[in-house]
Amino acid sequence: MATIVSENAKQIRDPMIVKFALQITEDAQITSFTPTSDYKSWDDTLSNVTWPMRVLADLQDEGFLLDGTAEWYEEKSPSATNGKLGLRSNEGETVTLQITGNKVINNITVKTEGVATIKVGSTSYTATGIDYISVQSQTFTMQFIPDKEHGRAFIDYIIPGALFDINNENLVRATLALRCNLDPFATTLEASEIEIQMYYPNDLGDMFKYVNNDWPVTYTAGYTDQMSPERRFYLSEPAVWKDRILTIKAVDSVPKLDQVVKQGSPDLVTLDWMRGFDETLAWGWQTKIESLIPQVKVYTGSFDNSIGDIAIRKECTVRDFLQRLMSLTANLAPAWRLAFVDAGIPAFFSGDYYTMRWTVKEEDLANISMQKPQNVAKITTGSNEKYDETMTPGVGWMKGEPLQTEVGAIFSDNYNGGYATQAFARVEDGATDKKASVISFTPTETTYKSNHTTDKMVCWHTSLIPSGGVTEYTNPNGLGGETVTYEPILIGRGNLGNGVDIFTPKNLFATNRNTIQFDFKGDPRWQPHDFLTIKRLDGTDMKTRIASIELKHEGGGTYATVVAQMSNQ
Amino acid sequence: MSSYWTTPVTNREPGARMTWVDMNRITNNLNYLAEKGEEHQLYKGQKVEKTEWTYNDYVTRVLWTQILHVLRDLIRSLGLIAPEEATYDTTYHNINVVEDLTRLAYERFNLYMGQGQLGKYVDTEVWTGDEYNLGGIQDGWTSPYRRIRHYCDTEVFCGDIANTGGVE
Repeated sequence: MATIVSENAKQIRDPMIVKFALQITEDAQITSFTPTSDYKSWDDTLSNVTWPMRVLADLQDEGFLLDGTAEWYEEKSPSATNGKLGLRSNEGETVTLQITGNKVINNITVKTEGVATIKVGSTSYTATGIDYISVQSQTFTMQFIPDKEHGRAFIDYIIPGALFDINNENLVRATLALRCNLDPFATTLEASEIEIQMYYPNDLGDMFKYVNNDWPVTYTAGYTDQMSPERRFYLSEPAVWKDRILTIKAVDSVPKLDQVVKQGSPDLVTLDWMRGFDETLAWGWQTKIESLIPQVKVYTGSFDNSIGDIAIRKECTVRDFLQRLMSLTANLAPAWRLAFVDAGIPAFFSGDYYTMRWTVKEEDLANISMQKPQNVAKITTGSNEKYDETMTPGVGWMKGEPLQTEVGAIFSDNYNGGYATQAFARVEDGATDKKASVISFTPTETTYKSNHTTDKMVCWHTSLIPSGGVTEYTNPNGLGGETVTYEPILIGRGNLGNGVDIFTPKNLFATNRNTIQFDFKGDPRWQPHDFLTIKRLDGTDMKTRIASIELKHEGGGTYATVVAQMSNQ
Repeated sequence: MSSYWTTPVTNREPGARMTWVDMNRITNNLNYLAEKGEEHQLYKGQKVEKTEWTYNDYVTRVLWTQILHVLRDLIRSLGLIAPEEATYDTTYHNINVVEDLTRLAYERFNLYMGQGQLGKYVDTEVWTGDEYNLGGIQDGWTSPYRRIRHYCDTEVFCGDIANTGGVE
């Protein structure tokens, strides 16, 4: 039984099985396949990519291998369990197939075995097993010519678009740069990237002329009895074919989070690509995080002055917002973590429920080095945005009642010398006695625009100068060091239940920023954010969290360079 | 008789393949023994339907079942106990077993045929061609073995079990 664990325990392990797939989709569908010549077998399953081809007791060419894999032929319904026949020619004969689509098909992917030449119309292609052919037609004819005098042509599948199947046979090199940012002062999520080079002899022409960044590139690696979960990336730029090498570059879903969310905008962001974003915040807000991003709801209890659960979010990208939230909650329970469910679509969870834990021995590592960043002696906030760690809810009202607006109306006002409410307060229709919890600020300038369809919602975008205010935080460890300027995204106060105000950056001091870097045989199951315990030679355990992994598959070998940050796990 | 005998191949090793030549040999050998057996009342049973194979053929499960049944019936008819049973495995070992059993059946058949022609020593007077002699070799064609052994449909003890149909 070959597993990642058992192979990594060896001095010299077997080559890891590596599989990538790049799918280039098309809108067109194939509606019919019709053999137009004699054939040996046909079960109309050429659209199916996943069912295996049946290995029959077939006497074509050199006969069938007597290793127990062949089956005596009998009729069976094609299925994932039974396998399929696809289309099989008579021995030594060409087989012809007519294909019709629901519209013009640009490119197709064809998987064959025992085929020397594929002809589409009058154009011939050298068959390589999996071929990508430009057809530019709605109905066309394909001929498959066997590569042996007494051999059959086997056609497994034909699909519109391209499904590049990259494996140990045609992989030249692959590098995965998997990253997250565990630095508490990080301001944006790191994206992970991959670069793959595969051998492909035929010119791909204009196949990558137009690139859709929703085209997935999947990856899995391991051994027959233990493969890593499939990870998903997305094509980031057109693949380049040159000198029989196709180079593919892809990133994970993090760049999709670059969508900007304006402060106070009630417009909902489409979040169907953010799976798992339905965890309820555990801070007493009872607000789903997916609604936190476009719009913040006031605590939907009794709108009590004394609770003061308000957060004001500056204009930012979703990507930045999530990183800030993780950084600020890093040392709290429950902290908010990103879990890469398939390395492509991050899910955001409170707690470490989905975080994996690994153990490795120091003796199995190479090129170990430790980095100790300079101590952060002080944190300062931006000159304009300051906030007070002792903010208390103000008693000011929006002049005693919700501000009435008209949809689309834009107006401005100067509240010189007075207080104005800063809240995303959604007031129910007909409710006139709701009082919003507020944080009081003295604005220098205020503009606002009503977007709500019932003319009730008021959203604010303003520069804030809160009453009182601390603009600098000193590290209680008393050591000298650098001063970091940290621009907050959230301003406000939340009732956490443990009395800790998360919206000040003081807790950023609490994270140990020391890191360790080492080379390792590589385990494709490891991901950034995972916990890693290093069993040291002196018998102690070093508890870390993986910050980045550079994993390489090349020349049949696999190896990795890992950076991990100290962690209290 | 249309089938022919070819020396079986019994020494396959890992990496071996089954070709149309092998199928021709296996099926013709079985039918050769079946036909010979019928002729000499040593066998009465089915034969393999297909004995001419080409590159374009699949070996079907139905056909392989026939092969196994004919082989089993021949073994029993000849009073043999198979040292190993042939199965549906598509392995080099199983095909070796099939051809080895076929070879054993062929040798046993020839043994029976040979006994029918060999002489037997008796103590009584034997005609030696010009005179009677006390003690000598009696012509095998008149051997009691030759007269006794024949195929019958009733139960016959074949050494370990009573089998329906066999050589008495």
